[in-house]
Amino acid sequence: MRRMNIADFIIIIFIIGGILVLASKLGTFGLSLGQGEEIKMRKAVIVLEVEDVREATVNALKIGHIVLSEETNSPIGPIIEMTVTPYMDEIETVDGKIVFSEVPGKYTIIVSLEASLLERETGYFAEGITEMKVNSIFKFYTKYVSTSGRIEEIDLQ
Amino acid sequence: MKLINKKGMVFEKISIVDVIIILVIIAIGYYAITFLTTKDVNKISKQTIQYTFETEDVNENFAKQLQLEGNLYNSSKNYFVGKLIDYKVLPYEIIVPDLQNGVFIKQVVEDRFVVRMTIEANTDQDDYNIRINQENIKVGAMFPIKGKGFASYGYIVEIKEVVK
Repeated sequence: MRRMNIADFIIIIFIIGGILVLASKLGTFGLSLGQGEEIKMRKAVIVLEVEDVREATVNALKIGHIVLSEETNSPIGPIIEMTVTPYMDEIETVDGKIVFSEVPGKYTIIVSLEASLLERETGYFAEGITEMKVNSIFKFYTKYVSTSGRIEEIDLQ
Repeated sequence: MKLINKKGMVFEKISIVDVIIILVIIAIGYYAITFLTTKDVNKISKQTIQYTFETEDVNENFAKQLQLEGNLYNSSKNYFVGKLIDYKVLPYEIIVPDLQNGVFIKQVVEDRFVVRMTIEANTDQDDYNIRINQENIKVGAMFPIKGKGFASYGYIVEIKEVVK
């Protein structure tokens, strides 16, 4: 049998290394190993604040619709609750006061989604793919609407 | 001819080590393709919709160029996006702060208008998307539109499914 030379060893090590890097980047390292490692998938409610939107967006977002990430195109979960309030913005009046006032025709929507989050040391990943972090801007869509909001809360169940 | 001879050659042509390397590369490729391609193959259905496309801050001549039953296109990609079946012309209003009273008010801009076009099109739909050719139709989506004699940017503000 032909002996393996150093070049063969190097190639095999590179290939194995490539498999390991690919698997860990795709977030399936724990899942693919699966032996003795606890997979921490947890149910969570993610609360988003969608600000300064028109009535068209309010009407197009509906409870039950599935939200997807615009970045990864993967589903996050269904909308379970929505609260709509007038959008308020600040005005500096002529006497130097800062007041908050309603902006006509604009709204703030608090959207709650149900999601399954993979808990890793570095963060929470919806369906193991999309990273969710409080205070980050999250661009998302449903079948009928495309918008963005700030993640206000990740409530682990 | 043996499968593997004493020298470790498969069918006396290629080293067993090379065969192992090739099989590992094929396995990586298979893994990458199956993982990265869409797992849930959504069923595509055909459905006619009417959607409202709104463009604002246009002059009075814009609406004069609109033709009912005229074809409309994405003006940068040239995709067909539907037929114009209706339109409304409304005053263009902007929101300004009333610094005296500390409130926001709407003010009409003279000689400028908002045009809302109702467009009908056949779409391909799955669980997450509505498409006309390669144009994603979603409320809040912005794209440039053109017809015979006009072009503008605007937003989709409403989508309705048509039952025929």
